Amino acid sequence: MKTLLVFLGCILGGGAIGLFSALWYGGMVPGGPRMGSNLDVGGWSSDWSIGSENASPYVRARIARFGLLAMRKDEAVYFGKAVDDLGDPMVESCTYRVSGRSMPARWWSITLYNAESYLPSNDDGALSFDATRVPEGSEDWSFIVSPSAPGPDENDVDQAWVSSRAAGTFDLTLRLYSPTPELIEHPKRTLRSPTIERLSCEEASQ
Amino acid sequence: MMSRLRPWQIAIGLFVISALVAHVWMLARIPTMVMSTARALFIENGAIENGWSPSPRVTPETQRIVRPSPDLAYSICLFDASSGPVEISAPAWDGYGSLSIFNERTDNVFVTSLDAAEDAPNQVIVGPEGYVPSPDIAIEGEAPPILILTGEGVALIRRLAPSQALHDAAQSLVDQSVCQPLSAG
Repeated sequence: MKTLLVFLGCILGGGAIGLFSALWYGGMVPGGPRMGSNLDVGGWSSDWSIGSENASPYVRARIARFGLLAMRKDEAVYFGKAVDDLGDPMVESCTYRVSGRSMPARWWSITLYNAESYLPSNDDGALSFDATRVPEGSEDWSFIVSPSAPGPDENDVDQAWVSSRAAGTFDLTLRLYSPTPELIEHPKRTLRSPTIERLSCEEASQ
Repeated sequence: MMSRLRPWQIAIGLFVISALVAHVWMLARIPTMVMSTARALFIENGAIENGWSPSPRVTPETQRIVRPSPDLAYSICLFDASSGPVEISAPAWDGYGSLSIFNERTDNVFVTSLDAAEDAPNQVIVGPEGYVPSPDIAIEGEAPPILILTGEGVALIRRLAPSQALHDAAQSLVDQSVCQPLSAG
């Protein structure tokens, strides 16, 4: 009888650990892994199997949790980055400049999300920067990420802004819709990944 | 001759096998669970089945799913192709746009461009396994692609609309979009 109870305990214990580990690896438990990341371009990570029926069960589960209704790579590709160029997590109390050049896609955007993968709860109306805001005739673009609107730059030119107010620790998602075949084929060679420069941080209140 | 397994060896074997079976089973169920929850949430927030529901402009207050794009106008249709074919179409848009279909496991099983600059088909017939289009069913224009999909699905329209005016214009196209059982047309 005692042996049978031990066997039963092993089955229940093993089952519980199996369930929990699946939920953890699937990104359903806080602190678990997030989006797929089998591709890294300048610190921006992506997974070319997003949206595909060939995605591994782990990628499939994490995408369902963190990027539901994401499209497959011939229509859209997604890159994410949660740290600045020095490797520090991006936080609301700091100000960053995100800069880049033209992107290999029909249209692209960069959007800020909080640690729960939602838009931050603020009413600043400055949630993203997209290709339609790049100055006409210019290859280069940049915008400021900060909790309040930045003033004009040193040349007295207004700076584009994405608000991090109420975001806490956040990440940026780069979407490239209708990507060029070259990007799909040779992402590391084709994508000139945006830089994220930390400009300043507010002192923590005592 | 193989010696008989001892109880502690059986216990470890049961533990490992139970853990593996539970792990694989749960991992395979996560996408379906998430899609099912999302579907219920869409319905709770006013989405209808077999019809397009335009979503309000994405803001922190209106977001319903993770990582929505605030620059896009979304319309969603929840459909069930298990009992018969469903016709899905959406008019083209002057700018980036797409019509995509997801199965109940969250796979993106179909996508076409709605960009007016690209001459892509903007209509698809979704049918259950074994579905063969009937010659009695007349569909105007070129024959649309046929997508075989078992069970429930979600169709999603995305249109580039970074301003309120463009968002309103995009969502006004819902009246010209179709998502309904083919026989109801």
